[in-house]
Amino acid sequence: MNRRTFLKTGLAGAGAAALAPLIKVRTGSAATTGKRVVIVGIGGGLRLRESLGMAEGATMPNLLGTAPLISGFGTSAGAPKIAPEYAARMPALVLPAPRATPLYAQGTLITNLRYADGPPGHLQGHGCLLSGYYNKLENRADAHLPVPTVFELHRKAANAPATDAWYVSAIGGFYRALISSDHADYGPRFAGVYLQPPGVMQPLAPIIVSGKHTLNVTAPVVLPTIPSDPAEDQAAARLTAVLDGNTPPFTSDATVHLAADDNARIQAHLAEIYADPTYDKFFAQSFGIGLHKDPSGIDATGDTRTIYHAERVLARFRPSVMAITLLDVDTCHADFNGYLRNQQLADAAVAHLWDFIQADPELRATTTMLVLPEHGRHLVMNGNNPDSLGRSGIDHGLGDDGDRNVWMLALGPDIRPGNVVAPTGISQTGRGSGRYETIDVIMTAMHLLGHDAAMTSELTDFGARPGLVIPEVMR
Amino acid sequence: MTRLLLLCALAAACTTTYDYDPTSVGDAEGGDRAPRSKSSSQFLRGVYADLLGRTPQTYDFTLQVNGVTQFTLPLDEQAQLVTVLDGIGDPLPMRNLLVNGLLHSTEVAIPDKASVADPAAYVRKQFTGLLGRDPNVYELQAFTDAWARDPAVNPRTVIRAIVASREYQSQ
Repeated sequence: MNRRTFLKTGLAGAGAAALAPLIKVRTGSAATTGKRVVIVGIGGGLRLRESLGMAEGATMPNLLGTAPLISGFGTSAGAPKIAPEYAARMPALVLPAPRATPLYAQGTLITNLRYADGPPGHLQGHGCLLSGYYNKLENRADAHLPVPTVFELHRKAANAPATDAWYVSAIGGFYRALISSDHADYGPRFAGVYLQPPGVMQPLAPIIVSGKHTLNVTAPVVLPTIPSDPAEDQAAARLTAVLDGNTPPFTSDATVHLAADDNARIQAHLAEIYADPTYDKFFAQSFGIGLHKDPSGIDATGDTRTIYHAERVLARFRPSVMAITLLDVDTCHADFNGYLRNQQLADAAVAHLWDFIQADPELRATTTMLVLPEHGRHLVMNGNNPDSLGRSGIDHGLGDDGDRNVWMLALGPDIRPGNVVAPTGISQTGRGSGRYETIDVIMTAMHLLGHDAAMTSELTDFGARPGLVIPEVMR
Repeated sequence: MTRLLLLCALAAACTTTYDYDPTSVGDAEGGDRAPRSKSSSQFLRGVYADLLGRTPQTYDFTLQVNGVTQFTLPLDEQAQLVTVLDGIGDPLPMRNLLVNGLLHSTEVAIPDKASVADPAAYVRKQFTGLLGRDPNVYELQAFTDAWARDPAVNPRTVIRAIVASREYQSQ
C-alpha cells in the first residue's frame, strides 16, 4: 500500500466507521405497492390424488378440508389411511385439532393448475416457483437461474435491502444457489437472504463450539450457549469496517455478500436464538406440530422447523417477499406412509403460518399467501417398501399427468374468498394446456408487488414464455 | 594478455541476441486483487487453527442427565459446523457467531482487558497472528482509540473484528 492508497482507503475506512452508526437501516416492507407475498412450495412432489382427491384419507384438512375437492375419489375422505404396522413403529404425530373451516373456503383454490414444462424435479420445480420460468436447471451447487428471481426483481425495483426478500428452505445444498440468478443486470448484488433452518438452527453447534465433550444436564436446565452482547457485536463491526476500508470488495466469486447493515441485523437475529440456554428458540415446543418425543415433548421435522423459523423471520424482518420450500413429502420415493404423514404435518404447519400472519394486524392487512406443490408424482407406484394396504413408494420426474397436475391455494386481502375454480380455455402463444399454470401463480405474485411488467419483460427478452396474471384469483 | 583474450572471447560470445515479449510480474501499483471468499470448510479449518491451535476433530460426545449417561454419539466438528454455515446465503453472520462461541469456549484463554498492559502490542500481536502482517498506522490508531474509549472493546472484540474482516475471510 502506498501513501495515496493508504489515504484513500484508510480514510474511506475511517469514514465508514464513523458513519456506521448514522447509516439508517433501510426498512423494506413493500416499497412499491405496500403489499407482501409469501409463496409456499409444498415440495417435494404432491399428487392431486392424495391431496385434493383425498384418496388415502383427508391428509390436509386445514388447507383443503375433509371432502374431496376433485371427482373420482368419493365424497367423504375419512382419516388418513396409515398402515397399522407402520403406525406401530413410528413416533406419533403431534397435530392441533383441524380447524372447523378449511382455509380454501377463505380464499381461491385452483384445482387444475398445470406444471406444464421442465423436468418435474425439486430444484427445477422450486426454481420455477422463484422465477416464473420453466427451467432445466442442472443439479449442481453453482447452477443459477438465467432469469432474475422474485427476490432480485423486487430488490432492484424497490431499492430494497436484502432483508426485505427471504428464501426459507427446508433443504440446503444446491438450493442455496437459487437465491440469485446469472442475469447480468441482476445477480448476487440483488439476492435475497437464503436461510435453511434445519441446517442453521442446530442445537449441536453451541455445544461443539463450547468445547465440552460431556454435558451433564441438571435442573434447572442451562445448556451451552453462544453469549450475546449486542454492544460488543457493534464494537467489533465498527472495527471490522476499519479493516474492510482497506480491502477491495468481493467481486470475483458467485457467493452472495450482503451489505453490512443487512448482515448485522441477521447476526442479531441468530445471536438471540443461539443465546437461549433452553434451546427452545431453535424450535419452540409451543409451535405444537411435529413428532411426539418420549417421554414428552415435540421433535421438529425439517418442514416444521422451516415454517417455525419462517414465522420468526416474518415477525422480525417483515419482508415484502418470502418464498418457502418444504420437502418432507418427498420421502414417498420409498415410504408411502411417511408421504401421507408429512402431508399432515405440512398442512398443519402452513395453516399455523397463516394464523401467525393473521394475528399480526400489519401482516394481515398486507400479506397474500400462495400455496402450491412444486410438482406432483407419477401415476404409478414403484414397488419400494410395500405396506399391508398394498401401497408402495412413488417417484417423480418422468412428466406424466401425475407429475404435472397440481393445484394452488391463494389467501389474503386481495384474494377472492370462497372461490374454487378450474378454469379452462386459457390461451397464450405457446400454451398447450389451456389451463392456468405454475408460472401464472408467480406472475400473479409479482403483480401484487407491482413487478409483473418487469418479470414479463425479462422473461420475454430471454425468449421464455411469461406467466399470466390470474384474474379469477383477485377480488 | 589474459585480460585481452578474455575480452575477445566475450566479444565473440555476444554475437547472439534474444528478444523476449514483455511480461508483467505482480500487480500494478494500486491494482488490488479482488478477493475471493473462503469456502465454509476453508474458513472453519483456518479459524480452528488460528484460535484453538488445532484442526477440527471427531470425538465422542456424551450426554448425561443428573450424572447418568443417556447416550454417546460421535461428533464431527467440521461436518456439523459446515452444515450450519452452508445453511445461510451469506455465511458471514453465522461465522461471526461461531467465532464468538469459540472465543468463549473452554479451549481459548482470553485475557481480561484490565490485564493487558500494552493495548497496541496486543493489537499488533493479533494482526500478526491472524492476518500475517502488522497493522498500518491508521488501523493501529483506530483499534487503540476504540480500546481506550469504548468499554465494549476488549481483547475478544479485537479478535472478532479481525476475523470478520474481508481480508481474513478471503482466500
